[in-house]
Amino acid sequence: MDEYYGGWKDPKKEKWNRQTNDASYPLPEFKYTGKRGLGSEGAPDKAEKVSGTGIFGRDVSYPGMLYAKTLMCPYANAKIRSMDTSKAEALPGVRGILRYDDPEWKDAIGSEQSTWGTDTFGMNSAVSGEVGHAEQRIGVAIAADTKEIVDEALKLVEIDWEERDFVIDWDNASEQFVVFNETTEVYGDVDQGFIDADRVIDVKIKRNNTVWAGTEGCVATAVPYGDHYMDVYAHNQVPHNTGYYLSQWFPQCKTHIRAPYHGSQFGSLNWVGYYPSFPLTACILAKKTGKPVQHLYDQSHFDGGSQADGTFEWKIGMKDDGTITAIECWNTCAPAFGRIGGASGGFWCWENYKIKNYRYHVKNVNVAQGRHSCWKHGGGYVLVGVIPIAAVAEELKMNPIDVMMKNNGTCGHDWAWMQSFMTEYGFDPNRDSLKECLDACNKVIDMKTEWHPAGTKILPNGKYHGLGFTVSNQWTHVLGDKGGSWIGLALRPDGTLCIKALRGDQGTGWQGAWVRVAADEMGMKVEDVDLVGVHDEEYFHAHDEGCSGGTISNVMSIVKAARKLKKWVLEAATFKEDNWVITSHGAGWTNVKSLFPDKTPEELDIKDSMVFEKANPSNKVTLGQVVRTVDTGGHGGEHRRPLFDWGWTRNIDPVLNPDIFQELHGWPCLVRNTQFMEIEIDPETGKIDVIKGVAVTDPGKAFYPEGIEQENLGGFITGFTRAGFEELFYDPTTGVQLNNDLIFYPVSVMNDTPNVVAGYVETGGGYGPYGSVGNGETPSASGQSCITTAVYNAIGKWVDAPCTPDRILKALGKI
Amino acid sequence: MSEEKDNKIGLGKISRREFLRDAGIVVGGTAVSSAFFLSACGEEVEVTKTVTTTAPGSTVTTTAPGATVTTTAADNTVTVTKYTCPVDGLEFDSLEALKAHYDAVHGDAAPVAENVINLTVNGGDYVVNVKPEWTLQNVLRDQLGLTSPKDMCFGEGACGSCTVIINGRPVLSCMTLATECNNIIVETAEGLLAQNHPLIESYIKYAALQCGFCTPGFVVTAKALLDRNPNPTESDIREALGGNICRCASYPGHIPAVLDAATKLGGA
Repeated sequence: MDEYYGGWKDPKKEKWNRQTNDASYPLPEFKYTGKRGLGSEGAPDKAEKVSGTGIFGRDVSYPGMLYAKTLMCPYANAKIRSMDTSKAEALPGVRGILRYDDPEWKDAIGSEQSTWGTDTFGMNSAVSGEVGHAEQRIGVAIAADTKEIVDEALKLVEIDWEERDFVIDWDNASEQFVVFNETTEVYGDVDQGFIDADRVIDVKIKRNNTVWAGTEGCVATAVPYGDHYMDVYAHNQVPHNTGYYLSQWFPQCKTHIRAPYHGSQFGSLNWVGYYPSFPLTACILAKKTGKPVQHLYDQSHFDGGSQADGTFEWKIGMKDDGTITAIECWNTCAPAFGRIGGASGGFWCWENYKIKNYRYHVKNVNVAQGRHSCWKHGGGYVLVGVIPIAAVAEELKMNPIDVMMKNNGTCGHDWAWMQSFMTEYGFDPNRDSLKECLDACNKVIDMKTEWHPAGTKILPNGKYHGLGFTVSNQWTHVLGDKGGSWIGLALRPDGTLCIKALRGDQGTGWQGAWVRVAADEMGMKVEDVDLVGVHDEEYFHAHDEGCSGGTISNVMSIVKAARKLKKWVLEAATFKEDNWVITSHGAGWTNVKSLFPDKTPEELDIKDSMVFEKANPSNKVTLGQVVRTVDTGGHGGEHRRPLFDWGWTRNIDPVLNPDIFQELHGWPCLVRNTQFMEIEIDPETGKIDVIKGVAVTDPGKAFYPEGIEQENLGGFITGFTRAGFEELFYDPTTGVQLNNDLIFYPVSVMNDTPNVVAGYVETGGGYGPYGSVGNGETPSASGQSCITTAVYNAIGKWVDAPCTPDRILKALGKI
Repeated sequence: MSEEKDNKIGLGKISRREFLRDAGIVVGGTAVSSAFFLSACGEEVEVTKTVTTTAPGSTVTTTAPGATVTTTAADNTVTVTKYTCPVDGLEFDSLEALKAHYDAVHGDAAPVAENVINLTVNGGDYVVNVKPEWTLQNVLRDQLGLTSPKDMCFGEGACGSCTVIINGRPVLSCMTLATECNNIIVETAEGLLAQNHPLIESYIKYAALQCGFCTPGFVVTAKALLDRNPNPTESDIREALGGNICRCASYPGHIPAVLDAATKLGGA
């Protein structure tokens, strides 16, 4: 069993997979992990991406491949009464049509009932004949020889529409559009918390609609081989789930999932809105036509909104010393994924502070905006917790840093409790992640001395001066909270190592993290490590990708696999001919011509891809030499295969593992991230100038430093732009989107980029390998609150997001 | 004017569409244009232009698509009339000379192969049979198998991810008709990798990307910048890359990456 867990001898430790300060779990020499300047060898995907030679979803191409699209509805809320596709069918070049009343399409997609409620976020509208927002996919999918023929054919489809009432603004919706209105989270005794408070204040902010505006439009390519097998190229951060759903809803073929790169953002139509129905439509058309089919959705950038958008109202109770006694929050917003939407900010607050009492209410309105979903997940979470800090600081004229530190804690416990917990579970009790992040930020922007009460500082140039901040946990700190993983390692006869797992591709650092850790754990040169390619089979599954919980789950599996594989390598090097070995994965070894027959595995080690004798390092051979000594048997002479092993990491979550959560008193979060922002606002124009910004995270243990810093920089900027000027507008009369393209939807460009610096601290406070946590999502989610608090500090008014000049001037009473 | 000149020199041949588009080009101050139409392939095509140039000094280099003319004029004003072959872009001093060339080289019976373009991509020569509605992006991706010109905005010219270098200039390949691309020289990000251009390693060094979808467009735009300005300032880089969208907001990383490449190339 010990071997199975790859060295985790204490079941209790295995539960939480914590390795820091654990003498029974020696750390490898970090020759590459956490090191800079490794170039493309330390990040194998980068050269492919920079040069454009890497294969993304829309780069997949096959001879004779058809293109397919689904009709988009011109109305905000409508139903198909009848449809005539005869003219489209007659158009030369049209090869296949699926109608909403075709059983082969309707039954397959209509049967989706995943726990994510993808029925309303995916393509169920297409087969239901009903939509809830303009440009939602509906009614008919057409495959043809060219994209142009598809577009022409879709125009020839004649539909008798039934138009229905709709609402755009969740704040002004009648009850008929309210689909959910309940209290969703309660922690502690909120009423008593308000009774205990010295002061109680209210705050209200609205975050208007922003969209994913992803990079590469949705795509799925299905390639049939005969009647019963099909390759599916998924544009998905969770490709294994595409395989799972296709196995259920497309039993006509055995599908094999491939995972090209996918230019995108986290979440949205890269996630739960994608994996069941979008590739399924491609598969059905491929089956029907017998040809490869590439299903495209060019408008996917603007389908749906952000889960962080909505109207938030807070009631905040506080002591005069800055201690927050209770927070109650009402969140009115669009549904997400067809189930309950909202920011779930209560749990976020619970994990982040010592505040004991929360009550969180969600009201979902079925607005004609498409489903709101996560992308760069968590902006709403952070907002729920940050605004009270800023409001309390202003109410008490305290520095927000002091308010943050006053409420420092986790799961309703204070810092002293955190220290005892860290001591008990082997973390360093002297590493206060919040304080270290704040100190790092303060070196760039001196919030400690420069902060001022809101609206009180006018600069010599006549502009308002504002200092903003944000604070968040690294919410991917729970090992496997985004899912488990199992990853294989194959040490080839040439001495190179291949990491094998079906994986999505997101973020900056996952490949850099994987190869660094694998090299260090195996004792190999990093340039000798590579990863499975796009076209390889999916026997092993990473969780998601490098982002978020994926990092710690996947790297953990790599660590486990490497430790087992290294053991086999050393046994092979010292193989005794009278032995016959069955490896952990079942393969048998025989006829091994051992290179160190008079040694034991314990007398050898591996460094720089060489197996050597510890007592006599000059006695060494290459890894390839060792692998080539192992004959795995077979007809026709010697057979040389890779040495192979694998590791896995399980999922742990509050539902599946209540015992663990109960024992841990919730899930104490020990790592944080913070950002500071300095702005000036022109009182005449309302224009914001970001003078300076700083973003610091605590990844626990950094694997790929450049990647982490890039995530922090990008997160700061996307956070700033999402809450600063991004907004999707709707025609209130027709419900049609007015700026749903990249010309008019205001994403940031180079000249919008403020002067921002990024850094990180490493406290080892994560539950992942070497004390790590995921890093990618939190900087962006945090940044959305930074600009909001900065504007408030500048002008003394809460301004709805995005904080556009017109809204600022309105807040100033100038328009 | 000098930059316009430099980028046009060596173009050699132009398409009829480009000829028509640029017939009124302003060179050195004022210009007028006139036209003479030659019937070619059942279509009337403009083959002449008259350019009046005004410039200080006695030597004027006049550059227009398909021709470079150096003249000397004491009064600084020169009028040049050229007759351009609609098929291969060669210029002649008279209509008769053009007609003689056309009959001899192309022949009355020879149809103008408007759907065939010759182009050089990353140092390789290609002949491609194109459709009128195709863009250069279609040619590069679908015909030549080059995946670096990406498509983020679906042909609206809004994102810069399809950028390639044409005759030294960064151009949106999704907004460039393939029929306009006869005899052009194209550089893509794949070509920069093949020539081991320092920008590739500099972008990796500074991790100036996240998902990487938009990155080739940035890289070739930066390459064009460094070709014309070996010592760019941060402001120059921001300006040059201002038309490229990165949804991951990798923007800060591009500046040190481009400066690093400039240093490796001997500038900065």
